[in-house]
Amino acid sequence: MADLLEFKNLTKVINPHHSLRVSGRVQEGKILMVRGPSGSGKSTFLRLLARLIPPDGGKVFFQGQDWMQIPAPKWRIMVHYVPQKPVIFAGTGADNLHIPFALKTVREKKSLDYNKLEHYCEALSISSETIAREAQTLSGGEGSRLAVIRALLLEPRILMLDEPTAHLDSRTKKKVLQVLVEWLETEPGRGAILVSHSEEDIEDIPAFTVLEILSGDEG
Amino acid sequence: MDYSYIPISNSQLAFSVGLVLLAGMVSAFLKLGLLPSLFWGTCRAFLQLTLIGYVLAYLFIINHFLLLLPIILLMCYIAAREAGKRITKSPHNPTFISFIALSSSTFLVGTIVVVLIISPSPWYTAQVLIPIFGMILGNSMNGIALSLDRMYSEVYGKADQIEALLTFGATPWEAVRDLVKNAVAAGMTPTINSLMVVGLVSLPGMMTGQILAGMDPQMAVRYQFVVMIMIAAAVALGCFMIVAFSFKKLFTGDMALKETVRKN
Repeated sequence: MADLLEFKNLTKVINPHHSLRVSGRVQEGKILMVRGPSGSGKSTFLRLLARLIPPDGGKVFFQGQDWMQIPAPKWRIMVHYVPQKPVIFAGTGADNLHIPFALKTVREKKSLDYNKLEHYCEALSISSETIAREAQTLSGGEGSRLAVIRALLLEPRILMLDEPTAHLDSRTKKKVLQVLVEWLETEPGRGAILVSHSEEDIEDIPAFTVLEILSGDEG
Repeated sequence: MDYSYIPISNSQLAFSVGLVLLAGMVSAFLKLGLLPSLFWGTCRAFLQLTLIGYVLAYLFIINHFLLLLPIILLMCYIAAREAGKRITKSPHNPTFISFIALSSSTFLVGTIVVVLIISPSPWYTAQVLIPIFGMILGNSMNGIALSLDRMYSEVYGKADQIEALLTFGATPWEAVRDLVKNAVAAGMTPTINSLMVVGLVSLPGMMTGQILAGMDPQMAVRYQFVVMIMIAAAVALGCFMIVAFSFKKLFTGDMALKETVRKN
């Protein structure tokens, strides 16, 4: 399988006693499972790849191209990050789904695909009433699923999800993972990075590799 | 009708100081401990105003642009330093950026008003230039301080939202655009409010001064209108400029929020 993303010695000093240094790759059609104890730097790793924080060293390549040759806004759509506590903006659920498509970088390339929206909502049990509600009144689980739908509609090349199933019951967890796997398989050239503590998650994912981030000083 | 001003004699001026005693009595009665400040404030106001009276009289006589220019720049610097002190949430010293915003907006709007509207001869007549630029600076100083402080408050409080927008592919400007709008509006609100109530709730200081100095009230009103519109334009421009200059400093060269901003 072809490599989509490759990171070599990607380094970040988290605190004077702990540095993150990781190497690995994300392959087409596969999920890279990121595992490790709390505070080991899993979220930092995703934030590094999203170029939200600068690394202290290392190199990243997307299909052989140095990541710094790609403008940051374009990169963040291609390698899209959904944080553990997704940000829900004021307005309705629908407003939240439209926000990315109002941005110039996104607007120039794509518009919201309503067929896909309907499909993802159905697959993740988000009703039209939920979408029409004030987003601030959504439960943690509904908010998480809304954020996953928003991310999928952006059609990134690599989707990075930080514990997307943390607030969900086991049935809904399975649905989210099924949607993710289906999204990976629908079109070539897609990959995903998933931070998860759950053993259950691994059972639902057919093709994955594991990146183990250790606690303590790895530098 | 013949308009003329009524002079204030030295004894009348001394008598006005008696009014401070009234404020002093309130302070003493309520044990506010403000007597030293009140005394010092009165002395300073008297000395500063007397001094500026002599300076202005000298400038009006000399009336040379090369003398006026450094004085106006000094006024801009003092206003920028004062605005900088009021901007409490800035991660860096905002004096320089305040100076650029204040001097640009003041020179642009002030020059339009002096050259195109009031049109004295010569155009740099100190009697017109100094008060006009001074009034613009005094009001813009408050506006830009309010705007920048509001921008930092909003950015610190909504760092997660800004980062979320960045992950959607927003440019730094797109990520903070709404917050910047709120900040500019916050800086302009006092000016807009004063436009709404002028003549109804209060008579502005400049107009009152001109009327007391013997000017026809109709003419004083015209001057006041021009001054208020000029202040509104300068405040809007100054507020916009300071947030436009400052928002970029919130981001790294790679269009991410600086860690110092996120952790604030």
